Amino acid sequence: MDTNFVTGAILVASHHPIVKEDQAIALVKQGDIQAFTWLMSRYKHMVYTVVHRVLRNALDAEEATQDTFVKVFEKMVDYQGGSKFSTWLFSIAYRTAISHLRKRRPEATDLEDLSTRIPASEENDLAIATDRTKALTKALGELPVEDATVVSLYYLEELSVEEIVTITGIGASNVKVKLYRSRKRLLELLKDQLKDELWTLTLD
Amino acid sequence: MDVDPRLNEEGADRALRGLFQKAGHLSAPEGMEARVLNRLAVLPKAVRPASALLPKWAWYALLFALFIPLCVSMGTISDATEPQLSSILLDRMSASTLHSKWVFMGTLCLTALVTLHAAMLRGIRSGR
Repeated sequence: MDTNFVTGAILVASHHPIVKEDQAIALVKQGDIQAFTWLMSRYKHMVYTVVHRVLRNALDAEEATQDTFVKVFEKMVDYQGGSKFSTWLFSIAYRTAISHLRKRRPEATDLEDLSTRIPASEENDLAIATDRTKALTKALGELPVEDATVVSLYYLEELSVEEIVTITGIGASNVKVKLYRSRKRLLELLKDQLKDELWTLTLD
Repeated sequence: MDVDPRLNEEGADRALRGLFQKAGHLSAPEGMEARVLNRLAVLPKAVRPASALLPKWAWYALLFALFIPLCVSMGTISDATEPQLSSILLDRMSASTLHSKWVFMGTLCLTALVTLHAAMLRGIRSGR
């Protein structure tokens, strides 16, 4: 696969006549690189956001996102459609990010140690982000890694508690506790940003 | 905690959901797809077959093909060589199996095929 081929695959994927995700998945199982590029374009921001919530660093997040997609391509034949594709993809992304985190902090022996606060990403990471995104990312940086991931999956990806359990491997009651705790903490941290939301809610 | 009193459980939930939705996803770096494709290009090919090389019916057919010479060989054993307790089927079968070249060769071929099949499948799965 040379550079021209890669560029070609991306160009073709942008005009690929795929209309359904199932169709793309079936094609990827047969090794169709254009269909895989189409899937990547569809999910790259979501995957990047999930791994960034765990790693809180742009460089590590990009590497983990790439690793996730490489694993997805290799393991696609194992995907039988038992769960939603996005749930399967996010579980790979989450495990990959946790594995990167373990490499970065080898002294941490269990997930509880990894769940402690890690400083939020560098300013450069958020240079082009909106004020709202910056404030949210900063507030999520104040939460433990697992809590920030759970709350992101719940509010941003709009996943159910059951789906979050499948992705993270955290028990359902634990997920609910994390959601409750994170909600309370975010309300304190995002008071100013939430005023706008409350104004919108009042109008509703 | 100085939080707006309108933020009860449901209100807080809706407000946070709204904020997350408006903030949206973080943007993945430009050109990431190309970098992933470049990495895939240098990976060793590990294409796994969607199904076994020989379908199940082929193995059943082989077993059936082996069963025919077994029956034939059983029928050709002379009564003189049979043990007195001819009602013991197991003895008849073992005697015929041991004496029949057909069965011996059939078993040998089947074993060779199974070994070949397993070796090819392992080779393909490991990307060789």
